[in-house]
Amino acid sequence: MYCALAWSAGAFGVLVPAAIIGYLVWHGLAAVTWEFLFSVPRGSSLDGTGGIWPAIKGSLALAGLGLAFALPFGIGGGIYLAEFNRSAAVERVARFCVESLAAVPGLVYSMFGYALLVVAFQFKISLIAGAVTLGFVMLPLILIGTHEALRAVDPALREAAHALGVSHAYLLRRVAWPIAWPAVATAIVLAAVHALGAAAPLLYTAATVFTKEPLGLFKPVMALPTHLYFVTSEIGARPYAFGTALVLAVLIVMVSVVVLALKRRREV
Amino acid sequence: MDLAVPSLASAQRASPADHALEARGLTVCYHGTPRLRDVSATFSRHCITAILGPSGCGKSTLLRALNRTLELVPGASVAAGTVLLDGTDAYDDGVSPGWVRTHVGMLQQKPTPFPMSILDNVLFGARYHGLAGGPDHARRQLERVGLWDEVKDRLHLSALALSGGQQQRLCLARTLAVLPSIVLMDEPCSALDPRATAVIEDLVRELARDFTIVIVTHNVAQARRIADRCLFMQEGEIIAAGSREDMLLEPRHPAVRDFVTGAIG
Repeated sequence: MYCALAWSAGAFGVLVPAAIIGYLVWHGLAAVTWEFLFSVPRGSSLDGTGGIWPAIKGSLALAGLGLAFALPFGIGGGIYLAEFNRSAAVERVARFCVESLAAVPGLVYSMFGYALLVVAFQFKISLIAGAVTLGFVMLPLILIGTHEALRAVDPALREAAHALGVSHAYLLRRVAWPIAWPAVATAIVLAAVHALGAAAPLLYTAATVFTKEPLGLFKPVMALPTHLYFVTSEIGARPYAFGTALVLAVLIVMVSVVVLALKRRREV
Repeated sequence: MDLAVPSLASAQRASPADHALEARGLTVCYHGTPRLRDVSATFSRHCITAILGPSGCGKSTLLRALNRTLELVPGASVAAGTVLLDGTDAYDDGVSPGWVRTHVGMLQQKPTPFPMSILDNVLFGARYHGLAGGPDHARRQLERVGLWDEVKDRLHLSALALSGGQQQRLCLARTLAVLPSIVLMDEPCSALDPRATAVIEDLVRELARDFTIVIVTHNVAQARRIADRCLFMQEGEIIAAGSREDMLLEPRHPAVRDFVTGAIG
């Protein structure tokens, strides 16, 4: 009975993403051509012709820059909490705040990014404002992942290293971090994938419906999820929209696979 | 309250004044609750001192206090007393924990190889302290624990592939590589099979020629096989101390007698 439940739950977990990808492939694959991938949308409105290259570029730039912003704070904060903070109260409060941050809806991030970055810092609706907002989205996921990964390192190993009279930094660099790294990498991938697929945080901070200009830090950008949102509202569920969704899904799977492969190489 | 009166047998090997390590009135608290109460003990140079006692009696706490790894345990602190290391106050403000830990090495209950090569494991602490003068240093430590012939062809392979007994000897080599004068062992054989245990026990006896050894065990037979002297702990106090003969063959203290004969433990 338990076995059957577990199997059906597992099968469900595998079938749902497989079905989504299959559905997207079925409806969208025909639209995905070389031209679709690497050219700009044609016409001045979203009529479902032309390509999505600016949105692909924009998404990668947003996620990449956002990661560059979130990594130092996320990993640094996680390391501090797990390794250098000695106060249980600080740890509890910090974890509570970070976990709350992780639960904030995307649109609220977007509002916050708009008020802080777009208006107060006068970044305008721009790549940098969107990237930093995505950074806020990724930060708690990376921080929690790093903290948990380091906490999971066997305390006996820590004690053994300390008993050799080495500094805590040496212990961290030579023992704890190499053990924790695969789990940290997984957290980073999950955060990046989450950010790649997030439309809401970009709506008020970075996204534009259409641009032909090259990427610029202080210029509005197109992104895949927002492009999908705009296009689908305009033309409905047509092959062009499914193709866009398929590209987004494949991009996310690719990022996961690349980092998982890197991780496996580290483990050997 | 110095209960550690050496018997004739151990007096021949070490005079009472020749203490490598001494706990003096040590009281240790966890979150304010005393775990060790006014513990005084001496550990003679080149002697194997076994610390016996039921689980939770404070044996491991005493070991941690002796090499100052206790302060890494959240909530633990030395409330009173001190540890003398060759006459130096190990808890003096001018003494760094790192210095104490290199002089008082520790071998843990379970083997704790780090996820790196065998060679890197042996030299882990030695490199940090600038003691790893060339490959000979690692070789000497591995020979000393009888592991060299078993691993000399795979020094650069992961230490995690070794057997449990080999891993424990590797950890011992790693401890010896930072050149301690005292080695503490916290039930070092409890995770090993009888054959690997015998190898470690032989090794401990051999190491006593060069090192002062303190070994925690709740295995009376093991203490009988290797110890020169014994301390018996109960509920955070040392309730009896003496030579192996006094303590394990004809124990006078009733609690010790019960423990040794297997009535409790």
